[in-house]
Amino acid sequence: MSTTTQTEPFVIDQHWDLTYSHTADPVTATFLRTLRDEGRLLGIRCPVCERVLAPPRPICDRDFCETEGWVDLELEGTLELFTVMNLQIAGLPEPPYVLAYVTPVGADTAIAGFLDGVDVTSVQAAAGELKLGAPVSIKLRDERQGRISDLYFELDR
Amino acid sequence: MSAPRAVITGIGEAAAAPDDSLETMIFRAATAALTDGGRVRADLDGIVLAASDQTDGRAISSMLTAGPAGAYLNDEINVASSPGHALALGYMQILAGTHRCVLVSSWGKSSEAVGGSAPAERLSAEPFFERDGGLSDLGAAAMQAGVNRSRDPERAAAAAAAVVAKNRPGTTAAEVVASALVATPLHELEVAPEVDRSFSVLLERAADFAGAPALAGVGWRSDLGRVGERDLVGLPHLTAAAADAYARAGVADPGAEVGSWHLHDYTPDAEILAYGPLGICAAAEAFDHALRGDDRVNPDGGSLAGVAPFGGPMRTVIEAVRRAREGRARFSVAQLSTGFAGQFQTVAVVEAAA
Amino acid sequence: MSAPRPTRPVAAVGVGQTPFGPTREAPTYVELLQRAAAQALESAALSIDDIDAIVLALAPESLMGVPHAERWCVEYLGAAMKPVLRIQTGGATGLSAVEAGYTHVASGLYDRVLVVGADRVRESGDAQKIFNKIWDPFYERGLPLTTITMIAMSAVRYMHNFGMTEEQMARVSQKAHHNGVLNPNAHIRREVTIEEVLESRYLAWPLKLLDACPQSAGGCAVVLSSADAVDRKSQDPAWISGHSMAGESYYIGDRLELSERGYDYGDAEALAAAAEHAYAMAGITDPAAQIDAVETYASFSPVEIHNAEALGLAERGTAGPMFEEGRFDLDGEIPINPSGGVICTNPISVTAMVRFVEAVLQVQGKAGPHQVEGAKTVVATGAGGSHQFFNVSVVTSEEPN
Repeated sequence: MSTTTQTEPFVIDQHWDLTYSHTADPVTATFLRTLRDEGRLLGIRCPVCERVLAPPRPICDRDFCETEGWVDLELEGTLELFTVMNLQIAGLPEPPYVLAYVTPVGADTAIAGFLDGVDVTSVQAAAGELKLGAPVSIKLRDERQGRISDLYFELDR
Repeated sequence: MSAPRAVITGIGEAAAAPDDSLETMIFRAATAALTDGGRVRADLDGIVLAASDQTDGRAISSMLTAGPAGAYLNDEINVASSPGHALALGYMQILAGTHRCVLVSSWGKSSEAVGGSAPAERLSAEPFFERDGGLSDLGAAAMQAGVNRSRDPERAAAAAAAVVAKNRPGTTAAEVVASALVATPLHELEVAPEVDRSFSVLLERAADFAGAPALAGVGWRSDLGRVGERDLVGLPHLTAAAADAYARAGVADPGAEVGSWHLHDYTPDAEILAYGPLGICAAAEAFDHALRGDDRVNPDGGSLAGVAPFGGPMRTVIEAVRRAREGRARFSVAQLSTGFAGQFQTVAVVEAAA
Repeated sequence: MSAPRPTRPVAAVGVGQTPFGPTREAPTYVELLQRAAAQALESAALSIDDIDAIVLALAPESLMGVPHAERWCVEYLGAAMKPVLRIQTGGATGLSAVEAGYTHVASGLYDRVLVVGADRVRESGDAQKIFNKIWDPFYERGLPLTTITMIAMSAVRYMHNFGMTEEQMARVSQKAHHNGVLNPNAHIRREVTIEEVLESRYLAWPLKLLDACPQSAGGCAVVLSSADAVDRKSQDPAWISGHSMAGESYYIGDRLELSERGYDYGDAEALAAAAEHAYAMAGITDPAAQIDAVETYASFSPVEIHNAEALGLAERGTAGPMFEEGRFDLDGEIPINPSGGVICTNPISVTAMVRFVEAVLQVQGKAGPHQVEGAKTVVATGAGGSHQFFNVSVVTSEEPN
């Protein structure tokens, strides 16, 4: 007879099923609709600090005021940040792949998105290919849903 | 040495337009309060939020909502347990002397959560014993009403209907009892409906701003979580919270000295049960008091006319300040509660400027 | 932003922390709270009846699985009828809760406040899945933004700006693990070599597995007291001489241009802002000379490097080589994270409180094997959000005047 006793923990499984319906403000809505329907990239200006915000927001949090003045942005930009993902996260693509922030020409802030076209067989080699400040093309998917994933990035070769 | 005294220099509220995001709704209330107080964002040295992630559908709601509430480069803290607690912390920040100008904000956008706030609220039930037993916010409120009315069923039902008619403009007592039973003994019109609202309150030091109503005293207390173990009718924690607030504000005889009471009536029973602990009348006379009708209590309509989920009870503070600005009475009182059947109770006493 | 002095000095008179470890082996959330609270009360020679108010530290509850768990915990803390409130500022929660407790006492309304929290990270599976839900629902969900990737990108920027190497990051991790072995409460307690760190698998370049924190369970508590209520016979007060918090813009994409301070997303701008204010309150004008040790919130190794600069212990861009030289080792000039830090232990709701508790233990001389000799002024920091909220607390053995 075993002299050690190990009680199995009593476990209760719980599954959260919560659905949310987030209303976009008019600025965000305009950006996503224009991206989807017209394939154009928009930024918006803060009247006080004059930064062109991309993606556009209704409020400049620094000056605490409403933004106004749409700006058409080019589908070209500069690589500001990146990482080569090697981790599987539930609901996201199988790694490896590249996440990046790119400042579109004409904007003062950067947009996040997937950066395609880099050989990711070796995480380290991929990282070596990517240099901050490099020129990047902003590409649009053929079928768009009005989501930020309608766009993605590619290095200019 | 006397501690700084807190005054309320600005109030703001915003209802959501159909194309308001949560953030733009919050921004409009915050801007309104700053403008009302003659301040700009740069004057703030702190932000206090009451942001409930589950209500907002964001895993750390304050990350996104702090900016619209004025937080850029500022001290920001999220008191995620209740809007009453957020007000309490802002009050203490002024008294502590660490802050001079604090914006306290709370909100709820019912339209963002499919099914309203109920599914998320339900999950706060204790996971081992209560969640699978079917407990919900409505269920807890109904059980509380049930215990309340069991003491004198006919009179209680009539008293409840009278409170709804008082607090919900355009509703008659007959319509209340004719509406469908949603969770016995509660009829549909006896349950506060959910709306989208944001509120902001600007707190400063009395020394910096003459002529503004004072946040003269705030008290807050907590009951146990498990609904089955609480005194849902006696509300000892509300009595204690009120006592704290009155002592801090110097209110000796609430029934005589307070001009208006703004209560979070999530059901009419929640209002009736608050009469005794707040000193509006003796607890034993609460049903009669409700039947007679007291136009000092929720004179601007109650939560029963519509309340934002989670952050909505802050409306009671906004109303108390408006009454204090009119200056017809020395004190106005706000009562906020959060959690099943009002587990957390906060009482705030606003004093008109001299 | 003004910096008025508070009206009443506040001390920590008792601390508690449970041994941190993996969630599956840990007690329930409420038991962890109870144990931590009991320890803190015992070390303060007080009972729960002596406590006037309670502050609960609880970060995203999706991690431990009970929304608004402050409702559940009241009974387990003996807190019925007391004033109780709960603080949630992401990773900074533990130190924001201490700040809220400090405010309770400094206000004059309460003499003794219990600040307590616990976590069971991984109760709901991988925390990164939850950390994917903290981002803007219109522009960022659906992208692999998580706490790991946000720090990875900051490290990429810092590397680009200053040439930080993966070897320097590995040296930070090696130091952390070495210190963790000396801390009986740490979750991860094993030595690692620089080679092992460099060979560990990439999570998100340049962050590797051994550059990263674990997902921990455990509880932590502090008893705060007004100066008048301190019992000098039974308590050993550690004073909060300075405390501040600052937050940047949420948007990472907005933090790329150089700020007025000359910082960008590779740096910890708001940490520097909070430190300035806290140092001013505490009378610290020369951080490198006046600070004896630092417990800083860094869930990944590169964060310690830019934090050291934000805290004024090194000029911007120079801290990497200093770590390699041992300046911040346990036996170095200014030990950083003598406890092993967050790389050894990360029970998110209380991680920043543990920084504070470790700072208290240091100035009390009770830190044991990882004691920094003669420590009298120790800085604790917290961080939360999109590397967005930072708080700083200066803990001293001397009462502030």
